[in-house]
Amino acid sequence: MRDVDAETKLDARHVNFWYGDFQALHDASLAVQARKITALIGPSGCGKTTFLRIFNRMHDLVPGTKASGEVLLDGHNVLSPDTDVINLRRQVGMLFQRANPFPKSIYDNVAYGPHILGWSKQQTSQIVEESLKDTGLWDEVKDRLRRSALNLSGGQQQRLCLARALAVKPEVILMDEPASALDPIATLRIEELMQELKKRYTIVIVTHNMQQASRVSDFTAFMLMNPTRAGEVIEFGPTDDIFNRPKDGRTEDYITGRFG
Amino acid sequence: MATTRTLFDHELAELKSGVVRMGSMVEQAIAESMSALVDRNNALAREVIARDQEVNELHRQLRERAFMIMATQQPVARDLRLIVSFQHMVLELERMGDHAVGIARAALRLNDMPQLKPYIDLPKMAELTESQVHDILGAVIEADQDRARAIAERDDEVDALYHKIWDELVSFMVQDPANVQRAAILLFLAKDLERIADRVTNIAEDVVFLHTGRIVELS
Amino acid sequence: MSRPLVRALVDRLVGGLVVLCVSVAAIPVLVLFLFVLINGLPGVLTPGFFTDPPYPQGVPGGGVANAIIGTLEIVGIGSLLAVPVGALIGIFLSEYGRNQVGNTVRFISDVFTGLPSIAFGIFGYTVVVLTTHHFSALSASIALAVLMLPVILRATETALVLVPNSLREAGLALGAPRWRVTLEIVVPAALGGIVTGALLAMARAAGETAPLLFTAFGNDIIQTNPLQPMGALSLTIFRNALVPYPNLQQQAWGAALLLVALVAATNILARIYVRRIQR
Repeated sequence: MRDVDAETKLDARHVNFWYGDFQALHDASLAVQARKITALIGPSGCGKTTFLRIFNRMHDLVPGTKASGEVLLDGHNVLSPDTDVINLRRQVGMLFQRANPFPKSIYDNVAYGPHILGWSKQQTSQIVEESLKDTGLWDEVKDRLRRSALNLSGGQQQRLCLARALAVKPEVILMDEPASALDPIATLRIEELMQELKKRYTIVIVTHNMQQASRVSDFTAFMLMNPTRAGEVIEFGPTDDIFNRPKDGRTEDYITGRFG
Repeated sequence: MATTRTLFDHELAELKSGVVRMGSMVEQAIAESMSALVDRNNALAREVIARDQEVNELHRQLRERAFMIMATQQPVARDLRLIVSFQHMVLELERMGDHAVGIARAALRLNDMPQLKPYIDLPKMAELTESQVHDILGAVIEADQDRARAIAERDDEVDALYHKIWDELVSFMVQDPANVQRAAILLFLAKDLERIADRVTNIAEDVVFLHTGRIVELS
Repeated sequence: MSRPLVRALVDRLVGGLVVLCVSVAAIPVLVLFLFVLINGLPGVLTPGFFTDPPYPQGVPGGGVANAIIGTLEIVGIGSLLAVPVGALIGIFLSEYGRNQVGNTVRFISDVFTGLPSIAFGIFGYTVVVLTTHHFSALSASIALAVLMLPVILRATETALVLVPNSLREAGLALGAPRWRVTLEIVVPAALGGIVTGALLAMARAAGETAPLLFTAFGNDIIQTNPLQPMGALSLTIFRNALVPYPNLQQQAWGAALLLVALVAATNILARIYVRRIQR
């Protein structure tokens, strides 16, 4: 079932990745479709988070890492040395496993991105309100925008971090197990948000929770560590296919929990 | 491949053996109901009718068990297909049991009357149907979708016999009004056999679904 | 004797031993404080202690106003020099100094912390006093600044290192350049530790005597010109302790009490501030 507006937003081709001498990713390829949710699943250590962090060049922060291959964002290779990494990170936002709000007020958290971009006070307060509304936080916090963000609950903090990422108007949002530290209700709220957000943003989510992956995503990629401990993409396809009729026996073993 | 869900695998195996057990019970009921007709054995017919209670009870248990497994184990992929297929098969088997009861009841009524004609084609159709049932159970045990497809194709033979019997019985009814009652009962009996054979095709579709995850119409 | 009983007794014994050791360590400090308190109180309570400079011998009264102003000004100027520089070096070490250059700076800084404070005095003397042909408060401030620098530097670096990396990642992932993440996110988050480090360094500098001996040199007149010699509490204590005049000795005790109180208060304030930040 070919989608009329199917287009590849983020195209990873034959990506290899090393931490020093240790190869963590081997020949990983992935075509992330625009305005769809793509899930990366696989057992611990299979390289899903490593792969995710290449998309916004966060691996640059770790000394001694090397990446080969291409990651095309709208046709431009993100890994090439002349990429404007600062702008890339604005276009490709990230939500982390544990909520990491700045020890500042709620308003200042969401406003930080616009502040970096040099937007006017009026533009900023408008975008702050929009972003908080988009993440369903506005009604909960509109009366205490100047209070510290650290006083919010875990689920609220994570939604705040999402609002903060949205405030710079990215095109892609990368989520690294965003709900793993949250209770089931907070988790479901994040998932519902994702369904709303995918109308405007392309989302890639790494998750340990297979039910979440099958509930939430349009496409799923299954990754596994090969015998040399490098991660590989074993199978990639529409979520319906992966979870009902996976082509690879290893994929099926993993999703049915028969993994040893 | 080491399995980490031994309890779950055990439950699935139990479910499967329940389905197979129910299948043999139904197979036996069909054979015995036809014997009750051909041998004019009312006692056997009544036994078939009584034992249908066990078939129904087994059907109820297996459906419940399948549902519990889905609720507690969150099966996906091939496990989910397996459970959904079994639930459907069990329903088809229960209906087959009902058809066997229909045949037994027809036998009871016919045995009180002089035989209309020597039973030739009906036992042949019954034999075909019984072998269909037997074979499809084999395909379920082996989870063999190719065998299932082949069995589904043989349904044409059963249908051909059914039409032959139908034409013959209708001509009997036209010949002599006194034949109508017995011929009518025999028509419905043949219909029961034909429905059993149809349900074998449905079970074959379930076996294919189990494998491919796609619902296909066979034959 | 039963096992649990033996265990309980041993437990009590060891507990008692620990209390004994703590007391042995704490007692000299307490005795010292009491000593200073008892001897210093009369001096502090003398009218004019806080407002008058020392009067010439034979004239009754006098105080340590010159020394109070002197300590505040000398330490103040020294802090103005040391705190920004130390904080910046500390920021550099934490964010950009995980390499050989950083390790070298750290090593030198640690060596400096161990130098006898009189060495800083000699430094101030050589660099400022000899070239300006003057004793001055400024030379003392410079000497104290060099003394405070390693302390502030290390405290700043530690405070920054304690800021979780997840905050840096969050800032960078938004498309902020490294320097902005450091200045706008990491440093504000570490401010508590940085301020504490600065306060403690200042308290230490206020108590130093040797560096002031031949830089500020001391001055019995109340004056605020940093280019002239200036008095300080530590100098007053040092000089007056050795003279045979009881009223001057009393002023020395009073100055000692004042200094101890000042340092103690700064430490306590720093701790309260940290606790408030952490809430």
